[in-house]
Amino acid sequence: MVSIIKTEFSKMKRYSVIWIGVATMFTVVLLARFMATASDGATHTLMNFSSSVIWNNLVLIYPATIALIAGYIIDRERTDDTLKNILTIPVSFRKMLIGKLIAVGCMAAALSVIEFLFTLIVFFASGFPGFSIGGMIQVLFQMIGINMISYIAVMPVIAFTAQRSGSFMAGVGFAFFYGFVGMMASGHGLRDLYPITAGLTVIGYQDGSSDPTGNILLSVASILFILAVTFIIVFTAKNREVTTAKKKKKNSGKTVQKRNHSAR
Amino acid sequence: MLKLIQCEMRKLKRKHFVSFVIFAALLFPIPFTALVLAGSMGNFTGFEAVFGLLVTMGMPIMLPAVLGIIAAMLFFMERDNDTLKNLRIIPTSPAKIATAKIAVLYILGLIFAFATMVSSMVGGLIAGSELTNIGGNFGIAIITALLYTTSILPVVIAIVGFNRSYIFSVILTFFYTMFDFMLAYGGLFATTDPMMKMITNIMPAPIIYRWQAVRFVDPGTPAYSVMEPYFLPLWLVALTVVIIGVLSYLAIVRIYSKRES
Repeated sequence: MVSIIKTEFSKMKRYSVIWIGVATMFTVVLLARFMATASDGATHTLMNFSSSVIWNNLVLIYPATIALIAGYIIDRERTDDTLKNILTIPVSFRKMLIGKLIAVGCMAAALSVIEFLFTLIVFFASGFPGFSIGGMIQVLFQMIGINMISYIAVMPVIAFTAQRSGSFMAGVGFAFFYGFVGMMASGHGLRDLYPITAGLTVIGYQDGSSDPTGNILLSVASILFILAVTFIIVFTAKNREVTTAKKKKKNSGKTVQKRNHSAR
Repeated sequence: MLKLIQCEMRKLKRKHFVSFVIFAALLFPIPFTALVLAGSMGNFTGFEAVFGLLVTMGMPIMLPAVLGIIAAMLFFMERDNDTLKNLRIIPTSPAKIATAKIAVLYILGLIFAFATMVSSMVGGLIAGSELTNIGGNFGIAIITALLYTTSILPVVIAIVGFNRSYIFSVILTFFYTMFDFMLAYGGLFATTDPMMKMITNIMPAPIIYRWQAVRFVDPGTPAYSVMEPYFLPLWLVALTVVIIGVLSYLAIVRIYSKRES
């Protein structure tokens, strides 16, 4: 398994999709800065500004982005026609999927650190007050924590759509919707139950508008439930695409039947 | 032109676009019906509440996002299969091909409006209300779908112009959709910042929302009194969006015409 994960990291170096992840993080921070411009007269401390970044990232773009990156990396094995080679080594589809999910998990953590660095850069460039070392460390852990938990929340979608060729785009569309509904779930007292927003309680997120404490047991239970669903999907995962060979076989079978029919 | 649109629709069969659009249109009615059943919609109830939520919140998010993905698939199809050269040899002008692809986006937008209408009726029935003003609401759904389909055309310029990967196009679409949505629903058009005022008077979602709010914000509520000075008539919204659409269409055709393969 370790060598499979190492291989995935080697492959990742080639993918430009990583840079799209980095660009996404930068744009989310810029969006938060842009929204800060609009909030007339409000003071933006490091905690306020980072909360805005965390919230925008969580409900607007992160679930779809990570589903897109993971789906793309998995689907590349099909588009580059390398899946057949991997399966004949033999590395099972399930093992490959686990390897890719772990590698993308590590990438999610790396993207969180990048998000944190961009937040700090924009924070200092804007001249906002209220910086402290303790606050900075807290923000770093909050960003890593929330991004990892929201990655767990979309893992069932990734694992499910990965099994069929080209279906990851539908998964990305769903992840976009899934993340956005978090905004409404959080506003209607379902923050701890809804998987995307459950991490907010775990990281101790406070924005002043919603319940700052939450129920940590409910949040953890919700995350564990999603992990269990992911485990079931991954455990039963296999490459479910209809191969070209099978299609050809089917078509040739039909042709033979047609020929026999016309011969009669 | 009709034949070209027919050809594009045939290509769609292979990609299951129509089912993708209907699937997307049926996602939001589920949480919105749950919200209405929970009684969180003030004076609006049943069908009117579900429909209002879908048209003002579901459509602005889902329709541009889905159409952006589909636009990338449509415009990259010839590049991926290396078929643009064959089409140009027939000869079919690139301007006509681009127009047919944009026409397909509008057809899918209308299918989305229809699916939204049907799902809000089902949601309304589940919420236990009578279905009233169906014709009027259907008209609003169609106008909203047409406006939001036009609103995605600036993104199509970038998709066609950069001619990069699907990933780039999808991320670009999501950002545009979210940025546009936040400008409208974050109430950013009500700020005193001159730059923000200018942006919220140009971007499609804030101006479409300012037209929709006349009908879908509860009169007598604090939100209504805040919004009232910013209400816009439909003709002004349509005019702004049409100008954006025409300029985008001309740019798309120009860029696509320069493409060789």
